[in-house]
Amino acid sequence: MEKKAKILFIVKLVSTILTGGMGILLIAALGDIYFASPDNDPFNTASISAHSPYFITVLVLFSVVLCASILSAIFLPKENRTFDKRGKQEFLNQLRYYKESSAFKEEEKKEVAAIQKKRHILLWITSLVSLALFVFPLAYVCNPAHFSAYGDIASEAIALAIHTLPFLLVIYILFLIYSFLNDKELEKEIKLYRKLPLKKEKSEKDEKKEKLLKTILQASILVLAITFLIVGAVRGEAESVMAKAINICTECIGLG
Amino acid sequence: MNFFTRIGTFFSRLHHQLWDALPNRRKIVQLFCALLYNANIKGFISGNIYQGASKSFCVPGMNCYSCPGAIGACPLGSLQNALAGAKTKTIYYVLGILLLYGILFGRTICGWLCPFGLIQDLLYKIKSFKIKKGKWSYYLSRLKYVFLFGLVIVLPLIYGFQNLAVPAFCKYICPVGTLEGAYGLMLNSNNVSLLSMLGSLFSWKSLILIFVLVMSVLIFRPFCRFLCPLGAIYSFFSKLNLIGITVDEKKCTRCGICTRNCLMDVKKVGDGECIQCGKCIPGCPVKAIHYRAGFAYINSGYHPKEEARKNDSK
Repeated sequence: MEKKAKILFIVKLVSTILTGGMGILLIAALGDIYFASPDNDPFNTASISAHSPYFITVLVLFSVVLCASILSAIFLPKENRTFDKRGKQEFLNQLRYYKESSAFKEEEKKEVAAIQKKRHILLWITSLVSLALFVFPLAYVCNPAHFSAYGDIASEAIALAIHTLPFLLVIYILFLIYSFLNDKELEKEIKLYRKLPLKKEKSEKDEKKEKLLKTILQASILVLAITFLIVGAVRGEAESVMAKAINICTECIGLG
Repeated sequence: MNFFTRIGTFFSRLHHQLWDALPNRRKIVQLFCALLYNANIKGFISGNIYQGASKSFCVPGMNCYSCPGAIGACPLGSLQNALAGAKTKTIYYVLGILLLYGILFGRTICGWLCPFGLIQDLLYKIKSFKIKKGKWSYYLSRLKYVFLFGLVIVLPLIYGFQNLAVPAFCKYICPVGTLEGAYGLMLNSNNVSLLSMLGSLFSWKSLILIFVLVMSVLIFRPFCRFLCPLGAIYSFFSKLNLIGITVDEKKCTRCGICTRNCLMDVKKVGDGECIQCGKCIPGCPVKAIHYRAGFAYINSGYHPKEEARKNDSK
């Protein structure tokens, strides 16, 4: 490894560790302030100033990381960006765009249709199961009885996490499994598409038609937006927006 | 190599490195927008928020209206409050604003006009090991639509019909509100009294903020990619926005360099995940990517830094 590349590697390693360290320090300070202070008044000036060493350390670390980054950006060589691997779906889209799909033989057509059907079924199953799973967390958060205005927010948050996070995690894992299975089917389809000859270019007439449709849609949405804006302003909705915006938003700043 | 040649080479290289480190046009626009949205400098000194007439209009990007400097309303906060009051009032005004921004700019707003996007961009510039995009991030990028549907639309509507105003995203998730609104106000000594009102919710939101900021160093724009419902709204206009990025289909060879080089979870330049930052323009080998206004191209792939370097090396 070249000397400068070695220095860059060390800079990156140190700043990654320090960034993680800063996050942990800040979370620790936050937890300490919250749990160590009186229940009804965790964020008072005394508790915050008692934790100032945490914040000063974070500031110093951040300054070090920032200085190292700026100096390395100026003095060290730029890294060569490596390209990400092209996805199978992306490659198939490219093939579909370029190749003449009408040149498929009857048998191949059936084969492609079968693969696409299998992929659609996979997607439908994953989507429906995910939607069914999503009903549980949605039903929980839509019930006002689970959240009280002046209740114990910490226990409510824990209950919320227990009732929602496992479902969301399962949905996420389901989609990852789907993508793995889908990739296998994509490979088969790619093989078939690669054999095809190239497609002829789009005619000017079709292109003009597409352009016209797009323009009509854009103009309609623009007119609709301006109409909504004027109707809303006439009905006094701008004042409602202003009334909310000129007062401190207690929800935004974490007062609830 | 004699002494003077060495010094000359050193200064020439330094000039190139500094030239590269200079902010580009997009950064300047982002910075200008961040300053414009928060032009009420007086507010940062007094600790009060702005109460002028401009607050009846929403700014295009994510900018909390409780920030002492904010001179406009937050589109997402306004939408949630409008939905929460949908029982008694119509929501044409906020919908009109969102439609207007969407059809004019779409997600170009995320890449060019959002102050929180700028913060994440700057944090990502810190030299560290980066977590690359992949299947994990592609599927996680769908989470913002769940937030849009659940926290921005359904919950405020359902609670609104029970006469409870719950802007759920602002209340439980939004790190922009915590950073600009909460910390913007609390750091002023005139607002010490507000400290006594903070509790679990503030701790939870601060935790999210810390997580998003730390992750922004390691992952490119984690908030925009995975959490931001405003980006999700603008993504619906990705094929229709009047000002944005476009690919000349006749020139494009589908080599995929643009999408593979992109840090967002794009499948195609200009799709719902593309923030239209234009970083792919100089990288395109056939110069097929342009900015457009309507049907007119406004950038033909010209890149001043690249051009300057080429001229210098001649």
